[in-house]
Amino acid sequence: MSLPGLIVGLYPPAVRERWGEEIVAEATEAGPRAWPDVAAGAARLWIHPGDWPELVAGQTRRVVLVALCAVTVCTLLLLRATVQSPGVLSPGVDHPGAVLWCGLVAAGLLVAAPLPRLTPGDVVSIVVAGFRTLAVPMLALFAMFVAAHSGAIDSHPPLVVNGLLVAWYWATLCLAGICACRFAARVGRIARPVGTRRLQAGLGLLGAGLAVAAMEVVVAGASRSVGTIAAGVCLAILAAASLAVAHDLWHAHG
Amino acid sequence: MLVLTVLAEGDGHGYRINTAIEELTGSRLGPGSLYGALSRLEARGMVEAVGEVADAGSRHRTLRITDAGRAALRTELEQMARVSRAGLRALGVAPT
Repeated sequence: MSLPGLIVGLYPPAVRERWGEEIVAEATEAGPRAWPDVAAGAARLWIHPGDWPELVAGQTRRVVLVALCAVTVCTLLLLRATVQSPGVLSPGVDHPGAVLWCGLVAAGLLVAAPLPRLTPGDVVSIVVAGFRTLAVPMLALFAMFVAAHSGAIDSHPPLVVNGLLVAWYWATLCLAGICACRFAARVGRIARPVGTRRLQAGLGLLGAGLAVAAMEVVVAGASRSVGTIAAGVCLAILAAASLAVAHDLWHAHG
Repeated sequence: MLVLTVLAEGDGHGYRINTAIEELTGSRLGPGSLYGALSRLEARGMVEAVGEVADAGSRHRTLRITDAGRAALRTELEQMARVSRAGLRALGVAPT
């Protein structure tokens, strides 16, 4: 696949399906100078779901829901990777900022979650989808937990072993994150499509939570290292994107 | 607005629209900008697809401006014309 084809792969699914072939053709003919514009076009369309074609009923809302899950997963992985201060990741009485942002993000996910019809068929479908999608990451996480608490791993392993353990840790977290998004996509196809208003509210709460997390990381963090500041900036960008999508949905659907 | 102006003269697909924009303004829109605009205009009902054309192994969707698109284009152009006349008057230049 050519580089323009890879860049067009970043577009929202409905736009890719409808215009992808033409964008690739035009980008290939225009050459590398046009490729940044193609990438920027993908970013612009992701924060304007009102501009997507609706090829299947409810498609836009389902894709935005999965994007909301993906943003949440990226947030958690980003914080885990860069933040040294335990307070930011540990909601508790001593850390009201963490309570606030965790609460807002959780509320956003709950509000935007699709409601399954309580028919035996749908319940069975969701359970089967959950098993097929989440079984492997759950087993991987369990294996990691057992290995960490079994005492079999030295507290100061050799460099190579330490590297392999860190790689295993991050591969497991990334796998769990990807499978969580895939599960959200499957539930979205089975359950009743979430209404636009609820989706807007969920995105608004998520955006507010990410904004608080960004401030918490930069202002309240114990260290202001380059990684911490970069994490804060990334969280602020994700917050702005979430709020922009909520705003666009409101304008598109009133 | 450039896209609607081009389509007001006649139907066309993305490549033809961009060529017409280049003739009008001297430069082409980037593919991301052009197809983002086409997607937005189609989502808002200002243009509609009327067929497909196969050309050199790829398909191109032919678009047509709708009545809503014509009304929006006219509103925008009239607004620009008012601003243009006011600006020229302020400069002491008689509008042509």
